[in-house]
Amino acid sequence: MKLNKIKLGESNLVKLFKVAPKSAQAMVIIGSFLVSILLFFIIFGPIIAPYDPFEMVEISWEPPSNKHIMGTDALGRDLFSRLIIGTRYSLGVSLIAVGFSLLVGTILGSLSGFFGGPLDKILMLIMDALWAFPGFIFVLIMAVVLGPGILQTAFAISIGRIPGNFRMIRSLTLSIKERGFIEAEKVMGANSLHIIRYHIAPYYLSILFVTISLGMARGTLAVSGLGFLGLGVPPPTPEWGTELAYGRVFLLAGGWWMVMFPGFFVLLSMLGFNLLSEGADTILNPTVRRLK
Amino acid sequence: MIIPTMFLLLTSVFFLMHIIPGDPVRLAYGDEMPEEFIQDIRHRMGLDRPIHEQYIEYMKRFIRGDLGISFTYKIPVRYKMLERYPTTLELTLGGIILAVFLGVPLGILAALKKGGAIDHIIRIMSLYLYSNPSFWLALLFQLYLGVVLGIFPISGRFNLIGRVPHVTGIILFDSLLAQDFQVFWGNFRYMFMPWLTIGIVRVPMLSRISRASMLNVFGEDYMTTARAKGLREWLVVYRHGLRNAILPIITSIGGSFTWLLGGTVIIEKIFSLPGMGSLLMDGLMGRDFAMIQGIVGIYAIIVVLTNTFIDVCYAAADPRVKF
Repeated sequence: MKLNKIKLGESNLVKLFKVAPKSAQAMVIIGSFLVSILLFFIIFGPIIAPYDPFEMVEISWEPPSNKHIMGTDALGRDLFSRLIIGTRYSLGVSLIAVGFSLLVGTILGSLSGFFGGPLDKILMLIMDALWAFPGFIFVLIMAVVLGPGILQTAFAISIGRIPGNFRMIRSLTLSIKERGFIEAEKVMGANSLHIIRYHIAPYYLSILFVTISLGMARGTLAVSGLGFLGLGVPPPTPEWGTELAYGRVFLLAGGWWMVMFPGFFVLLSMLGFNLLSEGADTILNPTVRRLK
Repeated sequence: MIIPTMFLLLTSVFFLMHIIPGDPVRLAYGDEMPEEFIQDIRHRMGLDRPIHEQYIEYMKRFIRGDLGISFTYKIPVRYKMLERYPTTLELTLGGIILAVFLGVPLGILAALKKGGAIDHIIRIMSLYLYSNPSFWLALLFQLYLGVVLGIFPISGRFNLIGRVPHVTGIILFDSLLAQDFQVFWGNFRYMFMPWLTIGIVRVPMLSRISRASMLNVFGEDYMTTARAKGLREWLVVYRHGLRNAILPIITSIGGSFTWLLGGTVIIEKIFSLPGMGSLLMDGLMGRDFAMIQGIVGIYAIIVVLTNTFIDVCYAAADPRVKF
């Protein structure tokens, strides 16, 4: 065991990270690295992007060259600039979707888990029915019902994620309600704030972190999937999936860059968030830790 | 579970369909048609009646097995589905079989070599594959296997032209039944890239579940007993390990199947396969209420049947499971 590496006065997170298996440490580090690249693109996008992503700067379908490192798209716009700026839209939509589904899931799930009774039964029935059904079909239908747009796409995607979040939060609430150690704390005279700070919050937060990270990976996939089908963020907004759909038309004529690079950006963000959530899960979640 | 699930899904989809902007009749017949004609069609289809009447009428019909008439194709939804479902079934089954044959052995291997180099390689590989968007993979296959190397046809479905008698509609089986290996091979070439895409996207899930499930079993006393008896290692793994670890794997395979009901929409679009996914997509684009509701209803039935089938598999795989 690597317990001897722990120094006094370190925070719990650092301690957990140090005793975690090497593979989990590597995952968290690489994942954070990839995610911070994306964050960098989001914050400094307009500074990095060499051209205006909405302006026609070259003839259409220019292959990658020194001037345009990822080539140009169907309308002669610089692909690299579009993808860099597109990070804001693709990940932003995904973040709104994750946040909204988590909010709804948390409210309904904790109500259901806390009160139980008929409310719980009805909510469980609805959520189980939705859970069993392939989520992407709902997302598709909602995307058509709501129409194209950034918020509309985010909302459509969040609908597909609500049942999963509901179930997770509900079982969390139930398990916290029934846990012996909380009962023990109460008996010993601890006040609610103490219990929440030291026993419930760490438990919730670690699961929340993993859920958000995993949700971002799935959300980004859904955003670009909808964009690919022409149901997502509408043009001329630079979104990765929409760019891919443009590129597909030109693929058979050899326009590989229009498919390769947007897909690579999706891959990059999914890999980053997946690594982060997987590594964090191993480090933070005691039941997962045992299996590794 | 089947009744509330179906009821909820059908009801929510029915009302969602009626708040979609855009008149389906107008979309189906185009802008040139005079208003009176459109109104007449709307009246004959019952679209001008109050929404609750339409809803009750729709539910009654659905229970009788009548899915209504498609606006875009102007034929009963049922016929269109019967024409399209074999393609999707062939796509899904092939993809899942590939995923199982790749994923489960990889998972078992990783569990056997837990903590070793092979375990890490499999884990990193599956995380990487899991992060690949399916549509991107499909396009890359089209680019490299289809365009650059030219081994496989880029898209479309193998055209039979009545060469093999129609038995199941799934060409892979029909050609085997007719012992026409030329057709079998031709169809295989067309389906290979779609199968590969689905297979690869599902491998990570299956290998992870198999690994975790096997690791759970490896700690059990009966595994030690089996080894102590002097059984050969593969027998220990197969007879005592896999047989006990199979339940979560079966669940995961069933999950893949229902997941694919959504996943095929994109795959079928990329490979121009005339299946249920592309039918749903066309329905959504054409505001074809009857078609969308019909497909969602059928999918709900498929989901419930799959889950029931999984329960039956449980009982077959594990004698402890009783109903």
